[in-house]
Amino acid sequence: MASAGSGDEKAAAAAMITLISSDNEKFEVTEATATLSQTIRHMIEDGCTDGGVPLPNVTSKILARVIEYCKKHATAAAGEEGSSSSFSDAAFLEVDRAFLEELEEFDDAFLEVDRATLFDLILAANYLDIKGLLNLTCQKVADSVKGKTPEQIREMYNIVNDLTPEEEAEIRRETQWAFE
Amino acid sequence: MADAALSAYDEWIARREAHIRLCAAGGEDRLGELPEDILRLILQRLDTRTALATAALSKRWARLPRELPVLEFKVGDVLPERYRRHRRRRADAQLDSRKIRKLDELIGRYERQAMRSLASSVSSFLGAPDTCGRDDDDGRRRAQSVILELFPTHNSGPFNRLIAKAISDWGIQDLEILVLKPTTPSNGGIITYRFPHHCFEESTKSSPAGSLKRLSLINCAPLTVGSSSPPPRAFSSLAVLVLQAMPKSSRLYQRVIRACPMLEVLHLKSCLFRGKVSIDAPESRITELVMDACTFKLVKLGTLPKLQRLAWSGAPVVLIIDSLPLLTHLHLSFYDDPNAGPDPQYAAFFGARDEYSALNFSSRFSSLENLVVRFTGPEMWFVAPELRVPFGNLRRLILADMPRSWDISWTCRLLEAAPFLDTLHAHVADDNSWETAFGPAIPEPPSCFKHHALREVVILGFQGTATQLHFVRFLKDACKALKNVALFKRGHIQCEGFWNWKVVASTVECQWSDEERDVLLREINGGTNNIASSTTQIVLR
Repeated sequence: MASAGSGDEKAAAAAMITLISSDNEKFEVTEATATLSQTIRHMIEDGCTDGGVPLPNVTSKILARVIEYCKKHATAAAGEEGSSSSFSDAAFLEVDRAFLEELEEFDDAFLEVDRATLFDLILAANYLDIKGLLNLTCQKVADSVKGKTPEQIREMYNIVNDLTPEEEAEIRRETQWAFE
Repeated sequence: MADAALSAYDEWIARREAHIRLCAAGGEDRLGELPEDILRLILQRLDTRTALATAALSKRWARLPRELPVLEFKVGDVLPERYRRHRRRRADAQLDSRKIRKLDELIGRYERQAMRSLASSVSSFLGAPDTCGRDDDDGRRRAQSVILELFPTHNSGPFNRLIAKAISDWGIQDLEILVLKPTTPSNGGIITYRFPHHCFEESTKSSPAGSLKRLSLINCAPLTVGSSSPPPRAFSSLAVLVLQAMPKSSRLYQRVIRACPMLEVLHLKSCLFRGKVSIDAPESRITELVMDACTFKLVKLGTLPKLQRLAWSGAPVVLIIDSLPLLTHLHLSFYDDPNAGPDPQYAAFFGARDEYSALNFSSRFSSLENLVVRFTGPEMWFVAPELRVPFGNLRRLILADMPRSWDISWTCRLLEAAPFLDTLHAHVADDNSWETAFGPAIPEPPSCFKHHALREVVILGFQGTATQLHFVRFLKDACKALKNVALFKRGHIQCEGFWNWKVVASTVECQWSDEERDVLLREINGGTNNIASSTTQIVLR
């Protein structure tokens, strides 16, 4: 049973999936990479990936970046699963620390993008349902506004203040502490 | 009236136009275009202060529900960057005393200003109708926890009200109060922040009685020292209590435990009391007791009938244990206390107490299953164990940060004392250059000694020294059930908290060469290279 299961998994890992961006560019990726996206995982499970998976909400530029992320993190996930040793103890783990550090560095470098790309990545991660990428990108936005005043945030993200002066005064009274 | 409305409308129009111009220039509001789910994800990742402030960004942001399960009020959020710059300059040793005085004055002023502003903000937060906190329908906040960080202050009224309201009206489960040490001692004598006992007495009808489960007090006493007044009512429901940097008092701990009848977990951190601490609580439900970086010289544990996990991490201590019938996990980390003075410190098992800091157990550990021992620092060792099967149920033994001169003879004696031991994981520190002063020599078990349960041995930092090879040979011969032996050149034992540990073997750097491996295996197998006859699998990495 167990060996048959792992055999299937190996076969599945080698299977390729074609992703098609909104501007009709085709990307060949392994199933292990593609299934980091829950959306695509479900499509594979439903058997509707023949002839490629069209992703009308994602441009080729962004899709290429998303795939770059998934490839890196799929290897990490595979590494974790494959490290079981002959030692029965669950506490016995072999962790390649260098690789984990590399992954962190990769994430940091991956986020070095302009704001427009960052928002495109958020939308793509949301649409494709890639939890890790969504967390990563939302955290980046949160970090960028942390400790800033509303004026600074508005300027940073071109937010137009459509509150009436009365509304704004009311909100500021309620949350005075936030504006000290 | 009409004019005012008109001008507001004009202003609104003007802003719209500005927005359109902005968009035309490529400055779109990409953040605002995100779906609400994502905006909420971002809000969740913000601190309380910024999360509240975003309500003033625009109509869209004002309407977003702010589920703030954790309300943080931190004086650190109110202090300006200039304050931190002054602090950094103050730390510079080059300054003359006049400059230091001047900086202290400035720093003190910033701290007092920040406290005034935090106090008035908390007041207005409490005074505001609970609309900006996005209540649920019955008008109550859904906050689960409150974190309060402050400097000692004369004006503690708003904070006391906050705590009272959080506990009785919002029904929070977690409360953390962190009192920062002011940079300069105030000249008005000692001001402290007292835990507001009286606040817990008035409980409104709507409050779920006894909702507070976890309380963490840092640099803030839970009970008034020397007072005989009854303990705060909120303590009656506490399950977890963390006390950090407690004032010096020996009887306090016993009183606190008595005040919290439902207490299950007690952590004492950095309590710098150099004396004797006794804990005897036959009625208590405490299952976990952790003493971390405390400077107690002697800890006497009387009866703790429910205690399952006990940890000490710090300088060697005299630990006297009376009756812990349910104890399954024991974690002992000893590290050198730089303030302990020039005397050598020993950690000792069952040792004579005249010369060493010792661990004296007068009772056996009938339930103990996991024992973690970690030594970090010079001059620390086990001495002369007098072991008579006190670890009847011990299954796992973890020895971390052993010095390189690790004398394995007492480890052999531990095997004798623990007939059901299943796994032994040991780590020899490679960066640990100090030599160890030994206690009295420990005789090895007789050569006829056999162990029938030990199945797995992992040694990290294995260097193939004569003693280490001798130890492995001993294990191989004496342990009849031994299946796996792994000897790693590099690796470490990683403790996550006190109860979870991982053996982390690095596979990338520094491996044994084939030649070295052959030599070592031949040594272990007593001169032959024939390992076919052995049932033990030995892995060298």
